[in-house]
Amino acid sequence: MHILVVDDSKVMRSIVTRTLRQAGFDSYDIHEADNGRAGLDAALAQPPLLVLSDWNMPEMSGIEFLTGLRDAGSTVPFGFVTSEGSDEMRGRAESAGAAFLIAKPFTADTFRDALAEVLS
Amino acid sequence: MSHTFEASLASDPVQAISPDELSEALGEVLSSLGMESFPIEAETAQDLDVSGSVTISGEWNGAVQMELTDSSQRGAASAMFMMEPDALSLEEIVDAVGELVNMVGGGIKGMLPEPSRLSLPTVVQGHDLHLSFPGMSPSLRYARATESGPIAVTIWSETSGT
Repeated sequence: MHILVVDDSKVMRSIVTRTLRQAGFDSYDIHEADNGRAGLDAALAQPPLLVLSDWNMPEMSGIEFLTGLRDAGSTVPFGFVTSEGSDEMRGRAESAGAAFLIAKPFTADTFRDALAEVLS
Repeated sequence: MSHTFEASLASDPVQAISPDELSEALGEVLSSLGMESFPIEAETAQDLDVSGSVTISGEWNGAVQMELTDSSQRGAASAMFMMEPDALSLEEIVDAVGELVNMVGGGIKGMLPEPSRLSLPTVVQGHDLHLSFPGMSPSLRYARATESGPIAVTIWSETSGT
């Protein structure tokens, strides 16, 4: 069982992984990808329990990644972890099929609240 | 590096944001990453060694530039990677600075008119750099001191008539 963390920043992938552990989600393996295209390929090849994706990435953005997943028939739960947490962005995320959007900076509690229902 | 701030700008929504609010938001980002900081006079943040920036385009057009010393960029990267400063590669430091300006820029974007788009970050290493953004002028600058040194943020706004 694994969670797929997708972000073009190595340090942010590290922070997300660390925060997942701090939030109590330490029984899951973590797989990583550094852009939306790689994330889409990985998620379709080996479906994760959950995708945590940045929004703004080279090659393919997070919203394009999510759209690609849904167009391919994947229903894997998808959440954004992004620096942009405005109402407009949250609306776009929800419309595209995201389960949640976590805005940076975040805490372990934020992760726990957002992920608990999805991973339960 | 010093800036001359243009008075565009009754129409510039950046002018409606309190510098204290911006500084506090920067402090919250740093704190979330394990870095304590306090506000300092922006003019005292000098002799800087790296500049990271993102642009915002759409309903509001401008840029957010973050400047650090070599010490403060290593301190930030150390806190973010949870590694010793001397163990960090240049690539890791650049990544951390880029992510830091991405986080700060994203927060500022949320305070400004939407919809707009945040660019990927650009990071330039070099002492006392003088950067310019075409069609933009610096409209606000603020800074905070961390244990490792200063971090300064400049918001650049599109110049009227461009």
